[in-house]
Amino acid sequence: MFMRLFANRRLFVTLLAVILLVVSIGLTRERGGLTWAEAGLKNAGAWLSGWLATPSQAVADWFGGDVVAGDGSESDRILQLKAEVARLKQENDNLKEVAGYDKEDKRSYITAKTVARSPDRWNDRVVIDRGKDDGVKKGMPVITEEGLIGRVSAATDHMADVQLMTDSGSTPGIAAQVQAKGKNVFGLIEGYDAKKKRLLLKKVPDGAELKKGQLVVTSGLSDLFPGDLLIGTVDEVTRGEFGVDRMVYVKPAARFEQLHYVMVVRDPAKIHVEEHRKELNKRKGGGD
Amino acid sequence: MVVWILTGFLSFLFLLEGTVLQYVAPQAWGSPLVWIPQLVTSGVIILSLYRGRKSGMIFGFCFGLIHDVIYAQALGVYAFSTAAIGYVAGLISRQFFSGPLVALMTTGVCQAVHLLMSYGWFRLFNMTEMPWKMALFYHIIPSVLINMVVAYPIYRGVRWILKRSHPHSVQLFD
Repeated sequence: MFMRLFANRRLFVTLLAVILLVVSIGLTRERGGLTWAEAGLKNAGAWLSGWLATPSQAVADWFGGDVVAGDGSESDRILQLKAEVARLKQENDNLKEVAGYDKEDKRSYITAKTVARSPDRWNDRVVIDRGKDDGVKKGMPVITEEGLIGRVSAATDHMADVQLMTDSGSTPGIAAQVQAKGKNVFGLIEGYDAKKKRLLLKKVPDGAELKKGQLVVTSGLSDLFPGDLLIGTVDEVTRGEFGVDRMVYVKPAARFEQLHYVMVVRDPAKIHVEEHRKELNKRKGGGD
Repeated sequence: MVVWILTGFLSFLFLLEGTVLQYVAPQAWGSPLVWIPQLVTSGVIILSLYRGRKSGMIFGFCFGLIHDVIYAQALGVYAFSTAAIGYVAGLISRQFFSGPLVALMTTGVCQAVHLLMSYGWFRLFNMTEMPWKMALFYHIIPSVLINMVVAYPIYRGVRWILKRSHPHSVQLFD
């Protein structure tokens, strides 16, 4: 009886494989953590890629693929980044002092080197060489010296995956605001138009006066992202998909072609919010 | 022994895909055309031509799974696609008169099928929202062409490894 089912083995195995694939994708996407086996493999991959990344970045710099102006040598760029970080820290301190902020809630930046990038562009991700041990957590925003590039999508102890904003998949939107004259206009960064090389800012209220060149930054109202990280500038305003809103094409400030050094933004205030929410969920017993 | 050398060779190709080639590929220099380097897939296809479909399938599955764990957001797409391609390449090699031209054509066809299949799965599970025209003309077709060219050194590499360990058995694709 059962032997007849197994008679066409090739078909049977193919069907079984497809079913397994669907089950596996269903189970493994959008989950919280990583198993130890995956974490180990990811760590090993990042470590090995690190050996190849440094020389290839140096060569790419030498050929003029440098992101920043300058003479392009590696040490020069590190210095430049350090200077930039120092300047930002100084500025941040000054501003916070003026605003009467707590010293505790100071933002810090974790500088990381990118070691690998996903070969296909359907999943645009980079692997960086800093992980939980250095304070990187899932969901943190990642910037270059030019602007926001994405968020941490997974982290192990020694490495982290960064999902870039150019990823063509369905990603949770990033709360953003346009710094228009007099007031801020809110919207959600959802998706990327690869042909135009523009980010899509959706769900912008109708009636807002938006002009080309206005700055788009992250909104401080978000639970996850600290505010005022530069995303880009307004390029073009069109009618939104719901008819009552507008969609804005945002020219990204950061370049995504070659990413050598990135910075993970660590904002203690948002981490506290996150921890508090987890605590609440646990108390309710409903969340996971 | 030869299995371990092949594993090492394919692992090296895998590392190249994510690191060195990301700085060589046209998209790193601002081109709208995208080269998706699939050296491991080429390696698996060629290996399958020599060593048979079962071996191709096993190598394809293992390296596909590694690709999934390291780069993808859900496990399974590449493990399935690369394994299937390894198997299909092995089937093709039995159907036709063997030669370097057949090896080249097989690599091209299998690369195209592999890219279409992985794009299809991504699209099906909504892991990408790229329109198919864009994916086909800007991603898949340039990738297949460049991957076919790059497959030649890989073909030489795999042949050299197999010849070194079994000097008399490899005369198929000369």
